[in-house]
Amino acid sequence: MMQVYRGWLFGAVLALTGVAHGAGDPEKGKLIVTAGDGSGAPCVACHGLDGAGNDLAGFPRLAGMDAGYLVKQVRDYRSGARKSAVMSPNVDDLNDDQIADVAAYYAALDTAPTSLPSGAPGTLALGEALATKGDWDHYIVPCETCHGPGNVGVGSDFPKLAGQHPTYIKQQLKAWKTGTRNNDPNHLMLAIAGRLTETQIEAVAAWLARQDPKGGK
Amino acid sequence: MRPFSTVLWVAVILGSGMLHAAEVPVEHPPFKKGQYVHHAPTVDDLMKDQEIKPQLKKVILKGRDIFMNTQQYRGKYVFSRLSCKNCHLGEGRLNWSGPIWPAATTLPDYRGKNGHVNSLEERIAGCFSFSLNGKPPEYGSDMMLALSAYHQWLALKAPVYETHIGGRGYSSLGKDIPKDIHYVQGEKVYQAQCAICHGATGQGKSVEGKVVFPPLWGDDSYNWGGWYGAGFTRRHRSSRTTCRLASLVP
Ligand code: HEC
Ligand code: HEC
Ligand code: HEC
Ligand code: HEC
Repeated sequence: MMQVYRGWLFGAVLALTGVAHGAGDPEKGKLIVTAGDGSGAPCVACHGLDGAGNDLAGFPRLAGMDAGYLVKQVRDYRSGARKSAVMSPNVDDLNDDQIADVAAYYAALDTAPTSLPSGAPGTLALGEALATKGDWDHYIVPCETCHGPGNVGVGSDFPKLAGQHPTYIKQQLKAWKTGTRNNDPNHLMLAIAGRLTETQIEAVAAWLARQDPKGGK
Repeated sequence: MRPFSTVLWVAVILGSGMLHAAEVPVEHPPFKKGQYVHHAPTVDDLMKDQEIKPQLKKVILKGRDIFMNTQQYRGKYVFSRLSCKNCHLGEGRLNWSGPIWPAATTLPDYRGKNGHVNSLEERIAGCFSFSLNGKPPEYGSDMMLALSAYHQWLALKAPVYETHIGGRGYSSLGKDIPKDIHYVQGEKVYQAQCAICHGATGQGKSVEGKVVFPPLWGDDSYNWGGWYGAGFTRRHRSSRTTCRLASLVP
């Protein structure tokens, strides 16, 4: 009996250290953020050391995002599954360990969101309705159905949207609509983005950007 | 006539340009001849409706709230981790995804399943017992009243006792189980199409205790009366289509 129990415990410990290993080292990650991949520009130039990004320039906020999600995106840029002329050259020479390290660095950051001017009430109300109730008559499922309560993300597959820059959110939704982003698993996000009107995109981006990245009200 | 047709052509070209934009089609079975299609009202319609008294609006909205978040009664009326809306998608309004209002226009009626004339409350109670692994609120209680009011309001302007309803229930994959159906194949489909949301073993996913993707089996799901209990054919047809129809699974 004891024997069996110990066996299990040992297995569990192994599994845990295995995970910890794959999770990346934020200290090493920080070095890559400032030095870059050796050929492109360093991450810090666009995403900042604090991972805040920049709204007007369309540089996404990376602070506090799920590490597994960040890893997937950087790998997708490297493989060409996700394309961006501005972004891809900066990461195409990173190896898997380095990618895990940068992801761990940005994921661990607790940066305050950039404050935005208050939006138009009608636009924000439409955005909130889309994010929390959806538009089922047009088969638009509420964003929080997949992006989780408060749209703070669910695991590594469904990224945090709360507090992301509105310009970036809009760009991504339009990229799906026009077919330039198509690295989403099973086209789950394409199904939604493809059905959103320009007005809805504007509204939902404005509302999501003003939400607390940690899910508070 | 000239300018009109030019405008029309421009519209057609723009239109086809838009069709080129990436989209995931919604695949619904066609409605059958002679069926009517009901467009259930939305909460916005309710707020604007002058005919409905404010006191009734409050009760309808309470019913909607119970339907959307039945988990607020976990441990009392619900022992699983499901809410009504998890199976009856889009607030119970969506055709082909188990719209609930037909119960309000077709009941009371005789159901062979239990051999007597059933009321709307009894139908609702059935879903509590069998689909939520729960215990129904008392007949005539405030909760039952609110839920019935919500069902009935969704049926607004639908013909009573008319059973040729387009989009009722879930779209059927047919009554015959295909011969080549196989556990291993099913597991492959599940891992490829469903696991990302419902988890590798169907346990569902939660964030800080709140269910995001509901569990598909076991005590946290339903005991026997959901579609799993209603026999394999039903399970085969409904579970896949629920998510398909909401276009959760394109
Ligand atoms: C020249 C500016 C620039 C530099 C330098 C840069 N990025 Fe980016 N990054 C962008 C832009 C722009 C996007 C959005 C591109 C798109 O539309 O796909 C982006 C997107 C990303 C995303 C996707 C975020 C999400 O939410 O999906 C990740 C992850 C990322 N960058 C990581 C990095 C890392 C790591 C580095 C450094 C090794 C880096 N970036 C360097 C501009 C830059
Ligand atoms: C059916 C599930 C589902 C729904 C509903 C959904 N999304 Fe997504 N979304 C995804 C997935 C999966 C991804 C990640 C794609 C990837 O891995 O590249 C994503 C990614 C995104 C991204 C890119 C985030 C980033 O950091 O690059 C944006 C923006 C987004 N979704 C917006 C929305 C909005 C707005 C809504 C509601 C109108 C919505 N989503 C509803 C599944 C969904
Ligand atoms: C586990 C899934 C599940 C849950 C949870 C669930 N139901 Fe159902 N419900 C079903 C199925 C399956 C049917 C039968 C549909 C058919 O006939 O194809 C059904 C049928 C109904 C009907 C009859 C619809 C008609 O066409 O006549 C009503 C009304 C109903 N449910 C109400 C509720 C209410 C109220 C709740 C919450 C208290 C609830 N359901 C929770 C699965 C569920
Ligand atoms: C994009 C995420 C996603 C995918 C992929 C997905 N589902 Fe679902 N599923 C959901 C959500 C969310 C609900 C609850 C619907 C709601 O509350 O609006 C649900 C509800 C259900 C239900 C009814 C509730 C329950 O727990 O029993 C069943 C059955 C189901 N899904 C089966 C499947 C099957 C089978 C597949 C694969 C063919 C699948 N789902 C794929 C997200 C998903």
